[in-house]
Amino acid sequence: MGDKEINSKELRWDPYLLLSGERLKQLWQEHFLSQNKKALFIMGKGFDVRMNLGLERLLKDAPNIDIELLVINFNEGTNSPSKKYEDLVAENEKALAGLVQSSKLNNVSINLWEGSGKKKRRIGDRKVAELFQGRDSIIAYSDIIIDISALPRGIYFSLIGKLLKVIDFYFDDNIKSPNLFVLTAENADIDANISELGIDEDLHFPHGFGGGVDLESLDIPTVWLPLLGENKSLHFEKANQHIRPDEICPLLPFPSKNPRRSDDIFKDHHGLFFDVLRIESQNIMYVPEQNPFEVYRKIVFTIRNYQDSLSVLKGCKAVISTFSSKLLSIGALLAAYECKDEVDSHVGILNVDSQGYEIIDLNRVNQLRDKSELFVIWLSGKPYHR
Amino acid sequence: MRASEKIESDANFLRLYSPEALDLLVDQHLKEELWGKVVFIRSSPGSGKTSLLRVFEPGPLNIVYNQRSQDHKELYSVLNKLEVISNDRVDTIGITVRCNRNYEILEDLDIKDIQKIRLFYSLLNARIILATLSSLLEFKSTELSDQGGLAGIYFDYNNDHNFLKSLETPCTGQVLFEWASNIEKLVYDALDSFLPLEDAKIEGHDELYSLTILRPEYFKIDGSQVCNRFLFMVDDAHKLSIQQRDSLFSYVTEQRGDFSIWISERLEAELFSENFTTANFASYIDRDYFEINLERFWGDHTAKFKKVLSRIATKRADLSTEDVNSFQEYLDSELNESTYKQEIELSIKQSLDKIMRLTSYSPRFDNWIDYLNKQSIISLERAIVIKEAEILVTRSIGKQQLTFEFPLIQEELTDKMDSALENAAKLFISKDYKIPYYYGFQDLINISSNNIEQFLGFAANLFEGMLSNKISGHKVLLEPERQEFLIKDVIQKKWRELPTLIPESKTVVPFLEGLGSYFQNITYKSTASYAPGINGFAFKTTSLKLINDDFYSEVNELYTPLRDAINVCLAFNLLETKEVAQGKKGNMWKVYYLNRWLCVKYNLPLSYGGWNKLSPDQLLKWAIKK
Repeated sequence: MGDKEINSKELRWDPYLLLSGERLKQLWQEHFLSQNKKALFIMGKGFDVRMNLGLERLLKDAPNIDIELLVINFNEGTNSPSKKYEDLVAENEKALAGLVQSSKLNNVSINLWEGSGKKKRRIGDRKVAELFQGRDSIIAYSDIIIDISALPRGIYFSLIGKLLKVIDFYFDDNIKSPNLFVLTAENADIDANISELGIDEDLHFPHGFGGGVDLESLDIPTVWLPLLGENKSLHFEKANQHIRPDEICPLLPFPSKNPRRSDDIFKDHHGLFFDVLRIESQNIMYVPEQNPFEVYRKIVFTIRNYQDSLSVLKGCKAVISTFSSKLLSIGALLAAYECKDEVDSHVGILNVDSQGYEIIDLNRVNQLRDKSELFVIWLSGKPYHR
Repeated sequence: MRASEKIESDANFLRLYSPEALDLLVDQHLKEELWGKVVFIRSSPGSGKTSLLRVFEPGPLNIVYNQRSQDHKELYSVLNKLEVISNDRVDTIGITVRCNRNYEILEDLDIKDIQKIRLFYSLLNARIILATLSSLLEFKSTELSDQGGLAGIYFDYNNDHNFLKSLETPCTGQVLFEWASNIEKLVYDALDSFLPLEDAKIEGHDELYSLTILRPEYFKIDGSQVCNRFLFMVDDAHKLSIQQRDSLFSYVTEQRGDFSIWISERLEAELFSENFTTANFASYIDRDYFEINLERFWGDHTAKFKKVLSRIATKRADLSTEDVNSFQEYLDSELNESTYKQEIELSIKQSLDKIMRLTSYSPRFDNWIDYLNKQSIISLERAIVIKEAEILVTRSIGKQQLTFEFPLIQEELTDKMDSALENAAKLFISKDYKIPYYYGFQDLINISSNNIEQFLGFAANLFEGMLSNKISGHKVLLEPERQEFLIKDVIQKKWRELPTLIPESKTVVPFLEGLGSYFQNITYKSTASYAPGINGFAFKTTSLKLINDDFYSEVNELYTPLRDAINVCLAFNLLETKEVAQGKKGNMWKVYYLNRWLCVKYNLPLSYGGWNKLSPDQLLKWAIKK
């Protein structure tokens, strides 16, 4: 199959809908004007100052919206470094209570861990996916909005994947399938002020995104596509040791608000890329900093190209890792989700999670809160109905 | 493409591998505790367990056999002693099964425990079968994905016991492969699917029969048996769940089959408990299974460990393209005293001044002072002797007992000057006058804490230093000052990365800081009471009850941060444990020593010697310090 043929093979999210700023405001205002809409707003409860931003904006733009909240309290364990921010969590919770009536607010607790000591393992991804089983779990809603701003990566990957699967599998009549939105409050400066503590020693693929990569019977080459960000060298090395890829195709954010951003990331990883891993310079790819759909397209096309080129070796496995912003990570999720169901496709996601977080400069983070940019990614529903 | 890459990779691996590491297996073999047995191989991360297993994989074995009279004579000789390779053929093929987290995730399925174990056996059986086929093909230099290769394998097994339901035997390797792949895929889909698999019919297995039915005599390639023995190697068994490990362990020990299985796992010592498998099955050791602890082996064979590290370093340097093809010889182990002449002179002067001040009231030390003043040369050796004298004078003056004011004779000074005191003096001088202390190949080995990966981490930075020298036109030899700088550079990086790499860093980091500072204060006391210094602690036995005994459960809770901190330190090799005899006969203490790289961070000696008894309260204070 030539390049043209690979690239013309239909992409699910082509065209796509990515909204921010005034267009987002317009979406909320017009979309929720209709009376027969009922929205489920799923969000995490955490210390992140951006936790309520998405909901605040939605309620401001669509004050008459019929909305139910599902607030996920993820329990990181008694010894999590994030425990010291319980007062910030309480502040966020108090602010949330002021936004909606308590009757509209459902809290659900998810343990991120099972077991203790060295034998503890992550279960949060599986547990969150279990929240939605079958059509009945979402039939009552016309719209589902997942705000990932305060949700850990290990949770929202499986949550979004599960909801997409439930919609795809149980709603074969397009008219009745709910609209699915993913919302995130982007702020690279706030992200830079939150550092990860205690990265996981043993890595695993989030529930639903194993992709068959670990199958012993699959003795084919592995291609790794890591989405790079700042201060993630240790994460990168850990993932590399786990995956042991045959080929690495790093993705750097460009264009970006800071035009030197990709250069700086490149500099951080230069020794590792070229002296240790011997990555081919032509393997390096660039994706726009604020467009997850471009990430999605690039990754899907790259994987298809490799599968085609390596068809004499029975194809390849692909592993995607996100060491970047949450916004771009959605692109990785979409690529893995799309490729999951393709014949002979083995695409997994391997992230490096951490056991807690630390805020470097809380005052600065508070000051930066309102400079966050809201993005909405429309994944399923009306625009995609054929 | 991949086969040749693997070959290249195996060739490189063997080029860098040092055969001394196999000596521990030779010892085991001589005691008839290697073949047809269950052997546990345990160590901390980076100690070389996976490399040890890799030698027995078909790729490396083929290379060693084919080059047995040339590049790999030594390795061939050891493998010959182990009856792995003979002059005619490779007799034993290793079959590696790596445990990953997939197995543990089985525990999260919404099914009964007994079903979880059956699925565990299914998955493990399937993977052992796949690994066996893969090893056979690799031995014949064919890819698993090459159908022609699998079709050429004949599995001539009778299936009398009906282990292999839904598979008709005898069959080809291709049929066996597809059968096992299907099981693996079904189990995997059950773990990874977003949708419920209510109708999935996954074949659960009641036992780990693969170990029994996969025998060399049942496999033929081109009509011939491939080898005489299969060696099953289960790597990373610590990634299994507790129930799975217990199940596996029970099965292989109780079965008493004549299969050879090595189970390698990370040593995960925890405060108050041994590795739990050992604890549960303590009565079985040396009867139903044998245990090899790599750290203990290297600790008991330090000369051998030095040789291994030396060879590894030399072999890696040999691959350099910058014409720096050696390592050890470019680490200067002699201090150029002329560089530090001023510092040494100052040390001598200040020590002598202090001695004069301390002894000015009494003639007791006059003979000592005369002895010290006999020479006037400026040398480090003399500075150390004078510093030792300073310490001894300080100790003597500190003693409360009344003595007669007879002058002490010279021998009363020189007799007390032992190696421990000498090392303490050298440490004090190095710290006070900034003279390098940590340099030379022996110190590098000591800093490695019996861990090969740790050694390589430091050696790599030192080697970079050598390359820099070469490229910039200077002599390659690294002087002591530069070595110490590069070593401390690695340590600073390790310390900086610690909060990112370890859990509970908010407890662990202050705990280590408290411990390190405490050891520093004790070590650098002017009397050097624990010469050459301390870098370990043990719990005061009476207080152990408070943090371990269930009876004191409320008090136990208070010590949770301490328990967590110590467990993380043990798990991440920040603390090492050694059994030390002290006090009454038979009295053994479990001493927790700082990893040697932490000793360098706190300018402590590298020897495993000095330690102190500490109370949990004191340790807890450090763990909860903000």
